[in-house]
Amino acid sequence: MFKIQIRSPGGLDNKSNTTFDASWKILKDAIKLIFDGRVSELSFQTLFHAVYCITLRRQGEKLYEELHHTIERRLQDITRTHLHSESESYLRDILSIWYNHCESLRLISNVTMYLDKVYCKENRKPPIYHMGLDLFRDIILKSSKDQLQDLMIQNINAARSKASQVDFDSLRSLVEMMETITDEDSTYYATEFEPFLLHETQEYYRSHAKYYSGDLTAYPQEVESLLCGERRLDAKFLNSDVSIKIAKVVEEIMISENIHIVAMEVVPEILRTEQYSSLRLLFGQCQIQNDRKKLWKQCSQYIVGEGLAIAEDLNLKKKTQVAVKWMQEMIALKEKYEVVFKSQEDDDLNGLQAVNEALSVCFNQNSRKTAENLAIYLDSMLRAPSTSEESFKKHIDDCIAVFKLLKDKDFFEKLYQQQMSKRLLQQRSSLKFEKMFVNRMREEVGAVFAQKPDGMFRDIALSQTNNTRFHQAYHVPVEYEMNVLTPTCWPFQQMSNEEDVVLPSALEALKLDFENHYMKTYSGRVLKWAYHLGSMDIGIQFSKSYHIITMPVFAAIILMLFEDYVELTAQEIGDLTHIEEKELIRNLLTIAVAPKTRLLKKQPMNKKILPSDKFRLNYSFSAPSTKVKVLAVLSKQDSDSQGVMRTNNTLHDVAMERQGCTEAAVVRLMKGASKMYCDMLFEETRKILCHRFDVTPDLFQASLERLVEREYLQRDSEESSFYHYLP
Amino acid sequence: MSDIVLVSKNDAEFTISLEAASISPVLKNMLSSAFMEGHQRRVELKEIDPHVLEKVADYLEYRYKYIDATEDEDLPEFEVPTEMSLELLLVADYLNI
Repeated sequence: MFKIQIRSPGGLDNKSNTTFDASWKILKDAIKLIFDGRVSELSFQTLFHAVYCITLRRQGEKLYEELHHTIERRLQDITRTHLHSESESYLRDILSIWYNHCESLRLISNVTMYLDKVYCKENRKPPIYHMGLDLFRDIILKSSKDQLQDLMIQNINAARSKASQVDFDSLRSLVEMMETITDEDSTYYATEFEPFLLHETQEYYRSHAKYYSGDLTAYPQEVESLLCGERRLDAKFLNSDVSIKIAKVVEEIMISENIHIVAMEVVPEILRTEQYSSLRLLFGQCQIQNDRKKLWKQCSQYIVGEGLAIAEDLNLKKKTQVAVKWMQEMIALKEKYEVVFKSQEDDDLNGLQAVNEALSVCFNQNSRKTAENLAIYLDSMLRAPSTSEESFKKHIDDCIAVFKLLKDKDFFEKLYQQQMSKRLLQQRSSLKFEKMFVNRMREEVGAVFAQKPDGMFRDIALSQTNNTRFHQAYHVPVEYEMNVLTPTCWPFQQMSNEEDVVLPSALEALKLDFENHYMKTYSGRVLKWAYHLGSMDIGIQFSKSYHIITMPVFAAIILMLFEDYVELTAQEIGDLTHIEEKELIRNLLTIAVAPKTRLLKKQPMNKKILPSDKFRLNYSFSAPSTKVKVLAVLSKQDSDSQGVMRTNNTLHDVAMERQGCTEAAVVRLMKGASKMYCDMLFEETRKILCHRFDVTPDLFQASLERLVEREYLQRDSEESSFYHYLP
Repeated sequence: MSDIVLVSKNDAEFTISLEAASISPVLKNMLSSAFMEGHQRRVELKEIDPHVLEKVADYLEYRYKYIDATEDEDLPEFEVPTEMSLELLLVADYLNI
């Protein structure tokens, strides 16, 4: 066998007879030289070997403690001798102590590497270098803490107010020092200085905000320039993540802490003076969601103020003009702020929402009035003879936007239908545009809206075909157009006794012909004539000129009597035509009293119609154009009372409809749930109907009462606010 | 590249490059710091036998030569005489190689 001899090493600590004290003395003297900067006189190897020997002899702990003790004493001495609180260069003094200490520590820890490796690791002690840093923290920094921090913040605040030149290099070095030194699990900087710095920053800006005396609208600029200055300043001595924290503090103090002033005073002022770039800045600075909400709310309230200030211009003569002007101004307001808010930093929705909320408040201040104005506005748009498709589309969008914000949507619908029916029958609007609007509404609010308008369109279209056929089938002496209307689609009340009205023979024949013709196609249907909706053109040769006169059917009937008679009293006219008295008087006023259309001479010449008044044809009538349109006049009080009556009728209709809708909604809900609490039921009903109108508690209660009465629902015997559905 | 001198027991001298010596953190600190060795460029390791220190010097040069080698590369073995292994271990610990 081949035997390998392994030489047993004699060990490297061949001076094993040296004692700890002897080795320590070498080290201690060396450390003193290191502290004094005379390191080049020392042999690394000698010192390293000494540490090595001590550590190997298991005297590491003792050595560690001695080192600790020596460094500690050294720092205490320095505090006494080198650190004077009244020194003008206090910050730099600390820095220079720090640098010296670091350098010495580095050298010592190089020499004690073996101790670090063998002793410290095993015994979980911090390596010598860290131990030295900790001592620096405990001795130098703890004793100088207040003064150091105060001096630093003084410097920083001086830099903030640009009061004096500041030594940023020292500040930066100090921050680096504090970041190097550990404290607990973090750095000294993080546990001690940063909280202090942030707190002082708060204080600084808090007082800055408090004593702000500039223009309100300039406040966002001021904040921006503060932020900018702070960023520049922080970049000189702080890390970027701290800069971000500080910027946050500044925003928090300048904006969030003062959000009430900012929102209540700055925002309205900015809007009033239209300094929208400031608004943009402000939103950029306002990071907290809740604060932004407050800002938007203020914006919204400001618009409400502006919106409510837009009054109806009652100087204008016609109701239409008033309504149109008001709507135009409101829409202009809406567009103005939509543009302004769209350019804000925030996502668009918040801005648009603010505008919508504001306008919703304005519109619903008097929802019915708005509904009426909207209807009139739309009516005048549709009646406007030469609107381009492009601009009409824009109007539709405006109207729909307003409509969506409206609470009394059903009220608008009623008015819209009334006006639409008139436009259609009088052919005052382009069918294309009418349909365009209805289609857009169908898209936006659903098919329910389009139901009746579609019915009207259908009737009009069918009637046109019918008219053509009628003209082909019969000899028709005059131009003649009939519209057959489905009563459920059209918002008219049937006049009670139009059946009895006696037509001139030519017309009567025509009427019978048409009835015959119609019945051939649609047997089983009943035709009822609504003369009051129609009009007639009659050509008359007066003494001076020939005129084609367009007038209501009743007026025409009266006028045609004078083909056979020279003179008639009002009483006689009534007897001959069977026109209802009110209607008769109205039409006589129209053609005998109204100054521009005096087709009949009245005896005596006054403004009242009595049964005994005599009428004859006025041959001296003349007008500037060949075509004359006779507008049915209404005497002043008559027109007022009629207007009120019409509105009341509309209101009544709307109320009836609402009642029906509410009941239907309640029944539908209860059918599903079978039992429910009153409050809950109310909320649900409201939700279902909110796209048409706002369910009031009164309306809801009344509906409930009626349903209980009709035994759809039953009140719980014990709890009166609990309802059961009766199947 | 500058060379430095390692001195063993009996004053045998071994010259290696500074870069190779710097493989050992201890030698590196010794030579780069402000201590005497730094400017003398001479390290006295008089506790170490010449033949052991020679092997150590060889090893440092060997390590330095292949310092950039990846694991897959075919490296020549570094021969360590078995009888010297304990002594080498001791020095390796001392120099923290």
